[in-house]
Amino acid sequence: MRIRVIRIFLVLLASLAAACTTSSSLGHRHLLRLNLYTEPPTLDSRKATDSTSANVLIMLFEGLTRIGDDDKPHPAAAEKITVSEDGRTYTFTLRPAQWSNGAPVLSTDFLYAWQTTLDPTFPSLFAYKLYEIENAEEVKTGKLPMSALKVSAPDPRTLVVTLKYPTPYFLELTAFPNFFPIYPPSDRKNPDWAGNAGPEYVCNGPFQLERWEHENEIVVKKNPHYWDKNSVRLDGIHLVMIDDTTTEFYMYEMNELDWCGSPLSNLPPEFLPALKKEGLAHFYPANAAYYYKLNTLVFPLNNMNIRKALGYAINRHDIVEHITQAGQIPATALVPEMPGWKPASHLFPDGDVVEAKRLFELGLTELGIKREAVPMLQLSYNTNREHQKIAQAIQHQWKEALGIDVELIHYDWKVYISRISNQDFQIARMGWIGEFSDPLSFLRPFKYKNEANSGGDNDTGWENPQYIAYLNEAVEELDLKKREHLLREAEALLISEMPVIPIYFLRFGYLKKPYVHGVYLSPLGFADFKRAYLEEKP
Amino acid sequence: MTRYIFKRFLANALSLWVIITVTFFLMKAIPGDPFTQEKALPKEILQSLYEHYKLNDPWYIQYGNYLKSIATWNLGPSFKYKSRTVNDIINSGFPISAVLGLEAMLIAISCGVFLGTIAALKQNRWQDYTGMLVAVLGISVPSFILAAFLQYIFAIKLDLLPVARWGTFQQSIMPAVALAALPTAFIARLTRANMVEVLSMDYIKTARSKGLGDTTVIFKHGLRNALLPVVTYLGMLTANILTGSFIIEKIFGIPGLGQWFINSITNRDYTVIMGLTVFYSIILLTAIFFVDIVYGWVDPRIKVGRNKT
Repeated sequence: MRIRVIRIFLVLLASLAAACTTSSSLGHRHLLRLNLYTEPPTLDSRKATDSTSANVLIMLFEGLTRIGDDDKPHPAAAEKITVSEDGRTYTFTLRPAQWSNGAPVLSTDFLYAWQTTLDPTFPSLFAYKLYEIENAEEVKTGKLPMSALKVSAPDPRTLVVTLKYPTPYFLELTAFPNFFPIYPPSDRKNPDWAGNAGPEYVCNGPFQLERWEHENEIVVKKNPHYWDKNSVRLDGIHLVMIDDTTTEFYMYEMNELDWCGSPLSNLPPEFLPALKKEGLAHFYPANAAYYYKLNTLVFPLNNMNIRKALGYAINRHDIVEHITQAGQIPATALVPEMPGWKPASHLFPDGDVVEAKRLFELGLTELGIKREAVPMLQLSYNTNREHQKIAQAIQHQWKEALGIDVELIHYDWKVYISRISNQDFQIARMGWIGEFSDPLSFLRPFKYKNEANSGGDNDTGWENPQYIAYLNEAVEELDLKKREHLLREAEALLISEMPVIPIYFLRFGYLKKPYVHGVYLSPLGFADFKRAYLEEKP
Repeated sequence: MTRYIFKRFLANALSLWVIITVTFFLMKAIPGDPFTQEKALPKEILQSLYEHYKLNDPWYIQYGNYLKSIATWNLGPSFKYKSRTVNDIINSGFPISAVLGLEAMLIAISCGVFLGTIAALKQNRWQDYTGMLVAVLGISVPSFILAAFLQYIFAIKLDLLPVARWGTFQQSIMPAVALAALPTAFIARLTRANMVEVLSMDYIKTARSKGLGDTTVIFKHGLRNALLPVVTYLGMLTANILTGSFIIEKIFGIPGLGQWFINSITNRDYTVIMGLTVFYSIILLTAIFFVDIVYGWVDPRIKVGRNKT
């Protein structure tokens, strides 16, 4: 009797172990193992706002264009793209392609996705990304009916879009999730179709959703209906969700992951110096800047020379070398490197204490006050060790160079954001990552001080009619050389009045196993694993 | 007894209502909302989202809706994770946290009581000192340090156990041990202190002089009384440990419930905050209720539900 019980117990145990192993290893040979870091907030491209969701969606879907290794958009779901002479009307001819269930991809599928996003009642945070389309904003805000939206599908393989302005980066936007098509029958049948893997989750990209165990793992497998399936060499991708960079690094070390760090996660800060020293970490430029916003409405930051003195006195080189240590580049301009744009280097000097002192004295004279009358300044950041260390260094540098006292204050992220947008701050740190590869993505937020016009990202209270004029001219300009010139003028003007103090440009860091190849890493913080492959082990 | 249970049930329901109300108003008082982000959104888009999630309603309507959703146990969708409802989150996270928690409790109770008893019996001898040294370490070393240490030794250096994740028994060993360390130490110290006191009592001497064996004296008369404070502690411990630990689940990548307690607040995910608070409170109140019942069984002097005359 007892033996039988033990035997039954053993059989149960064995089957349990078997169940566990089958669920953790799929038996695919070419399976790339990545850490997604967190649960993606959504896999409905119309609702996506974050890079985690975007990175998975780029595996699963394909827009009219797809970004290539040259950082430029190439025709993808569209096979032919023609642009009208005024640069405002785009005609896309779709290639014959299929959804993951075999149904044809139609131009109306794009139209459907964009129209639902712009429906006034549809909950989409990033609907404004489609505002480049003529009348999109008016439709979303209910001022015009949906029929006024300047997008049409004259036949199942043609899509015609008219834009507000000639937008040189429009073909890049169409490669991003907010412009992806969706499969209308699924959406009509079940509005929550994107909540789980299953027959309703229909996509048109290189991979399809095989399994989604919430907060635990996602498995995608090669999509046999993808038009360019011959370029897809992976059988699938296994994404786990570990929101701890140290654990991720350990799993990478123990060969449980093939990749560690950006763009899905970050390298563990405590191991960074060692990894850099051993030359194991790879870095690539990010389309992102770290800067301090100044509230130009409060005394004494209302004085331009005081602001400039603060900017000149910071020694960015020291901060990047000794504090952040992740390959950041000292920034003396607002716009980081991006395709067709080298950051300006001559706008102001880094760590010029002599000039900073002169500007500071000048500012004091203009304000008619003595040095002692300068109140203690408040430098705020969201609670985070890295931001704290940078703030402490700058606090020290300002004390040394200008003899002023700075108080450091930190807040929980959402409290912090609310305070900044209410202009309840003096100096506040902000990281900004480009939404598309164009300097406008960095310059446009500072166009208007009025929240309603700027989209609410200025916060500094600074505004300059000449700056507005430059940007207005630039968006209408068809000649790319002239356009760049206007944007550079605008940037120089902004920096010369210094409502923001640039600190550094970011770089993304990662580790990868030597057998992983073919991954495209975008400076915008996403990756494309379409052409990724694993080298055969000898 | 029935009357007592009924009274306790009412008292618990009242406590729960107070908790819900206080949480609701605290949550609404902190700045920021689920849609606050560094890239400011156009006003109209925000308004349409508020409308969609019924955040434009006056507070009493919102409050009423929350009470209704709790009463029907239909806790609503998460604001941040658009494909998840709070019920989904509890249904998938709680069983995992509970299994891990039970494993940890098993370790904590057995090791804790064992260590404590040994220490008390061998008072001021090496067994006592070793046991209490372990206990002091367990109390003073934070669980995340212990977790990182275990991970480094057993997964990286010795390659005996998987680094992280959830699904197999091996994967649960390190998190359970890390989670159990503090309660083990606490139970050991409680047991020792009470055991030492109880063993010096007159009735133990009487029992011994009656010629009862060591085992009977220690287990039937000694330990049973010494464990009373441990039982009190277990009520709170159960609620805490079953609902998961933020830090341990983060370090070991376990998809439990613990992480949600912190993340929902960071995200201002209102429905998740409310749902989890209520869920946690129910577990805590139930655990305390059971502790009261167990008292009566362990200590015959406490008569549950019978008024003293």
